[in-house]
Order: sequence, then structure tokens, then C-alpha cells
Amino acid sequence: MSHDYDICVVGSGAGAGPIIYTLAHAGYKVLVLEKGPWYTEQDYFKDELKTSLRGGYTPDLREEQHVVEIENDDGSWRNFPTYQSSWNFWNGNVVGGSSNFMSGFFHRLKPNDFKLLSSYGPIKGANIVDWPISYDDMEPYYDKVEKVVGVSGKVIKHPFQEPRSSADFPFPPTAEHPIAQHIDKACERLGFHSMPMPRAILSQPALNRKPCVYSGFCGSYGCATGAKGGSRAALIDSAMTTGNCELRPESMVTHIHSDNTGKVSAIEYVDKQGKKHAVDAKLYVVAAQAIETSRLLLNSTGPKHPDGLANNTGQVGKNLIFAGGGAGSGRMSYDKFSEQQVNDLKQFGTFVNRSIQDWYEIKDQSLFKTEATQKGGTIDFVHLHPNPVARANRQTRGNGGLLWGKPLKDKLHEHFTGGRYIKVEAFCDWAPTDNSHVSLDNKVKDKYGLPVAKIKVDVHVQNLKVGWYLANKSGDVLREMGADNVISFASGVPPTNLVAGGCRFGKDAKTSVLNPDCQAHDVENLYITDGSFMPTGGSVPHTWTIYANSFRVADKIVARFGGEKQA
Amino acid sequence: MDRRTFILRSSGTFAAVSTPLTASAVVKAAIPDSELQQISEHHSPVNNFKESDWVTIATVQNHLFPSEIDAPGSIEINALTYLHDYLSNPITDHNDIEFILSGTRLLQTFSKQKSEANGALLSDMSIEQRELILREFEQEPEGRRWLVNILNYLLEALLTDPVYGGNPNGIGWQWLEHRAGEPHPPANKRYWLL
Repeated sequence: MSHDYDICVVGSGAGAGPIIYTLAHAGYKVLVLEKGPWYTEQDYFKDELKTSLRGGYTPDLREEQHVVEIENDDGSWRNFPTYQSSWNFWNGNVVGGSSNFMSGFFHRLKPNDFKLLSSYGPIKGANIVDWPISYDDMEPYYDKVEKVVGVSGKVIKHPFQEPRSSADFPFPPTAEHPIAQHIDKACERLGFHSMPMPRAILSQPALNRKPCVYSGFCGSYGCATGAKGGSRAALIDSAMTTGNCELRPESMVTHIHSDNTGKVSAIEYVDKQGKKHAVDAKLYVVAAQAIETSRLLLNSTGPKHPDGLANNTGQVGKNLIFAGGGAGSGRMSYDKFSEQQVNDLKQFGTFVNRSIQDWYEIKDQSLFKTEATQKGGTIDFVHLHPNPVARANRQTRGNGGLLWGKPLKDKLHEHFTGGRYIKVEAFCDWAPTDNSHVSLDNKVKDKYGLPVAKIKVDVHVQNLKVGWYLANKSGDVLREMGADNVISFASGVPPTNLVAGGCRFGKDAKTSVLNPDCQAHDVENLYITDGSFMPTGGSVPHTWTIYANSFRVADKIVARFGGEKQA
Repeated sequence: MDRRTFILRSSGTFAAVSTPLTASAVVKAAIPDSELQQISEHHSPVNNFKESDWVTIATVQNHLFPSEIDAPGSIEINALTYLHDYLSNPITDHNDIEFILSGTRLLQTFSKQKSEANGALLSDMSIEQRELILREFEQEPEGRRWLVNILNYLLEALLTDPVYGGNPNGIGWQWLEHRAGEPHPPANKRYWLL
């Protein structure tokens, strides 16, 4: 039977890019269907209105939204559509997906993250499992991401340094802000191990891309030089040069059709003009971001999939996870430092690039009431996000009401000119539970007439305990640095830009959606390669692991096709 | 300063005008004709705003963010023009436009009821009287939400890229020693055009 393409990929973000890159370079005909527009470096500006205040890279919530279900204090649940709230689960509907807008804090998972259950034991009320593959299976692909996507950094000895096949990163660290020296000295005095944070940002020209120019606006912003290792800049641009890849932007996939054998038979999508199309391929890959992937599968019923594609054991959408953790901040007030130090602190554009992983495992009976080792996490130090309107708006909240007039102006001036703010982001596992999942909301539909995703969010107390532990440690570092106004806290609010799970991979079809190769257990020609596959998330941002896993699955698919095609 | 001068200064235009001003004249003073054409073609609900509504908004903006000798205020950052342009943009959510208008009308009624000289306009009051009225208005849920929004648009006018009509020549960035990132958005790639 002839097919339009060898492989059809839904989505173009971090989970899709390695598939597109690998298959196109291996000589296979690839079609990419991306919901959003095709922007390049020439379309990305340091524009807070577009990037952060007007949702310029995400759908209009009036037309496409989600429904969130969260727990009340009394244990009951309430739900609301996101258009009527401040929540937004879209992260970047453009070619390259949300990887365009990441900060590129790149950490690998540790070997024990692949065997969380057997390493640390069960957690009551959480569905902790071991992964069906090991760190050794993934390591070559972490290494590949360093070289192909481009990761800059420096390997140093520290208590939780994971095994590596390459001695060091292929690119030197990006330029560092002098505040990093304050962190290093504080950590040294406290007996902690600060380490350079690896970044998916090129520090020098390489891979046919320009290096970082240190604009000072990185996270949340598209990169105007191509230095950031987003899926489009790092992988899809290269795939396009092979002549084997066709990309159709502004193409919203609405249904995956399956036949009487249960296999995918065609993909239906709607173009910008609202016209419906259908395409077929030998194999299909869905990588539309965790929530939308589950939603698409649940909406794609067929003769052998009455409850949604690949959902014959009811697992699609289950065990949704986020990145757990906490946050903190402090201010290096200029009046406490020398003129030279103030000039250094005022430097703009370079990165903080410091992390601590001393508490990736925690032994602390006072908090956890057990001798057992707990899985901990990572602390990353970053600049306060420079978006000025967001910063200014936070100054309008006074103790007795809104601040305005001269008091507001004085506070604004002091906030912007009186010191340098340093921020902490702490990452820990988000324990998957029965109450964190994606389903369809049959009352709220999007502009295509499809039920939107209902996202039920459950916060396990373990997330908060570990989050508080890490937040307190980070507060110690900030104070030791000489910062004032130090605050640090754990957060139960799910970060809407760090989502995974929903289509777990595993060996047992009754408890997982995908097999260890990320192929659907009950749909022979369907793979899922975004963060959906992750049964647990590790204590770091997910992106590097999503990239690595997608390269791993790409190799499986190429092997299934019979290897690279000869030119 | 008389009302006409005040309106003109609020729109960022300092030239004297000798004829009575309507709201559209205020807009005309600050916005190029070509953009006015675009607004009328799209029949924006912003056309429901009356001159008195713009006067109320400009009065509140100046109260919340007053001009100082060494710091820009609502007039210097083109706050009224900025808000007008945002509300006139065809892609702006009509709910946002109607919210600003209904809050403005609510404040007008509220201030007339609360003023000592019954029926006085907010713009005719002393700074102290205006502060009292606005603080009372803040206690109303609807009033607080409206003030939060007006403050937000003031800060947008202060700190977003000058291509959007506020922050002329980066006056807000300079005042707060904020370094903007590059590249800046060009006019043909403002957020609604991409």
C-alpha cells in the first residue's frame, strides 16, 4: 500500500524535533503538522507585550482554552474554564513549540530517577514506578543532545554528578554575571557545592547557528540569534535542508482516524482557512505537548478504540505530572556593597548559571520523620525576570490597599535602581496521583467544536515537604550572600510550562499507554514522543530528557524502517 | 490649567487649540489620521466613549501617576494615547473595552454622589478630594478592579516599547535605569501584526 509519507509527526517541539531531524537525515519522507505559525529569528523581538502580556504565541483563550479542576480546602473539587481565570496551559504554539521560549536550564536525570520506586520505596497515595529503561539506555542520547542541539557548560566534581560518556560539554559555558561569584563564595562558606548550570544555549558560533548575544531577555522570549537550542532552530531547520521534510504550519490536527484493525489510517487536520485535509503515512508520531496529546487521543475514537485512541485500558491522560518545588528571591542592595561591586552587580545580559544539587537525596529525620533517604531536588539561581511591566505591577500592592501617586513612584524607583535581585527556582518530583489527570470536558468546546481538555491537578504533600526543604536551603544561600528581603517558599501551584505524563511508558499494557519504545501498546503504527511518556519527572526541568528520549525513539523507528536509506 | 489644555497634555500633545475639544479631537491630536481611519473601519466599541469619559480617565491617570520635576508622569509617558490606542485596536477583547467604559461611568456616578459639592466632576476637585473619592472607590470590588486595570495600563505606557505609543524615547526606561532588550519590535511587527 502506498502512503503519502513515511512518517507524519503531529507537533514540532522538543518531543518532535529529534524524530523530524533523525528521520529526514536518514532519508525518510517526513510530514510535520504544526498548529502554530512558522516564525524564524527575524520574527522574535524583545517585546514584553507580545511575549508575556498579550499571549502573542498562544491561542486566544476565547477560542481555545482548558478547564482546570482543583481541590478546595474542605476536600471538595471545583472547576473553571481558563478564560475566566489567570491560568493558561498553552506554552508556545509556533514551529518549535515551547522550546522556543525555554530558559534552557539543562540537567540530566540521575540514574536513580529511572528507578524511583526501587531506590526510595513507595509513597502513600502516589503512583511511583520504575521506568522500563535505565539511565544507561538514555545516556548516549543525553550525550547526543549536547552535541546536536548544543549544550554549553562545564563538568565539575560534585556529590551527584551523573555518569557521562563524554568528559565535558562540547561548548564552554555562556558568559557569567559577577553575581555567580557571590553564590560560589557563599556556598563555599556554607559547605555547599555550587556548580555551573548547563544551558541549551550556544556560547560560540557552531552548528550553523550564531552564538548568544546576551540581550538579557532569554526565558519566555524567542531567540533572535538562533543560539537557544529550540527544536526549530536546532533541529527542524537542519531537517528542512535534506529535502525530505515538509512542514505545514497553522495546521490543527482534529482527529486521528483508525481502522478495523486498530491501526491509525489517516490524520485529519484543519488549515488556516478552515479547510479540512487528511493525510496518511506508514507511521505516526504524536508530540503535541502532554495535555494536548492526551486530549487528541481521547478525542480520536475509532472502531477498535471506543474510549479514545490507545486508551483500551483507560490509561490515556492518567498520572499527569508537573515540576514540583519552590522558589525564592533576595536583593543585593547596592548600599551594602562597594562601588566596584555595585558596578559588577549592575552588569546586564550575562547569565547567573549556578545550581546546587547537594540535596538531590535528603536524609533529614526532623522533617520527614523517617530514617529512609528521600528523593530531593535541584536548586537553580537566576536573575529576577527582567520584564519591566510585570516587575512594576508587583509594586502597586501596598499593605493598606493599592499604591499610587508619589508613594508608588518612589517604590518603583527604589525597586528598579536600589539593588540587584536574585531568584531561586527549586525543582523536585511532582508525585503522580490518581487525581492528577487529563480528561475531556464535554461542556466546553474549542473553535473547532472539539471538547477541550479538563486538567485535574492534585498536589501530594511530599512535593511540598521537599519543596520547603529546598526552599529553606536556598534561603540560607541568599542570606549568606548578603541579600536582604529574602523570601523562599514551596509551591503547590503547578507550573503550567513544565508538564509531563498522561501517556506513561511501561512494560505492562494494563498500567501504561506506551511500551518501552514509546510505541502505543494497542496501536502498532503510533508513537508518542513528547513529555507524555514520563512516569515520573525527575527533580529537574524535563526538556533535556524529552529531547534525549525522542532521539532514542527516532533510532528505534529508523531501525524498524530498515536503517538509514542509502543516498 | 484649563480642561482643554489638560486634555491635550494628557494626550501627549502640548500645542494650544482654540476650539472646544471633543473626545475625537483629543484622539486626533495624538493619533495619525491613517490609524483613525483604521479605527473607524473596524467600528470599535471604543467609539462609545464620550469626551467626558476620556476626561475622567485622564484625570485619574494624572492622579495615580503625577508628573514630577525629575520623574515622568502620565502626561509625559503618553498614558492616555496609549490606552486609547489599545482600546481602539481591533483585536482587543470587547470585554476589556466595555470594562474600562463601565468602570469609568461608575466612577463618574460615584464621585458625583460622594462629593461635598453634590454633582461635582472628578476633574474639578482638589487633589485631596480626589484622593478621598478614589480611596472610597477602591473599597468597591468593581472600583478596585478598574483601578488595578488603569494602573496596569499606566505601567504599560511607562515601560513597554515606544513603538506601542507610550514611553516616548524610552523616558520610562531611563527614569528607572531599565535596560531594554534588543532587537526592539519594529512597527510592522507589533504583536497584532505578526
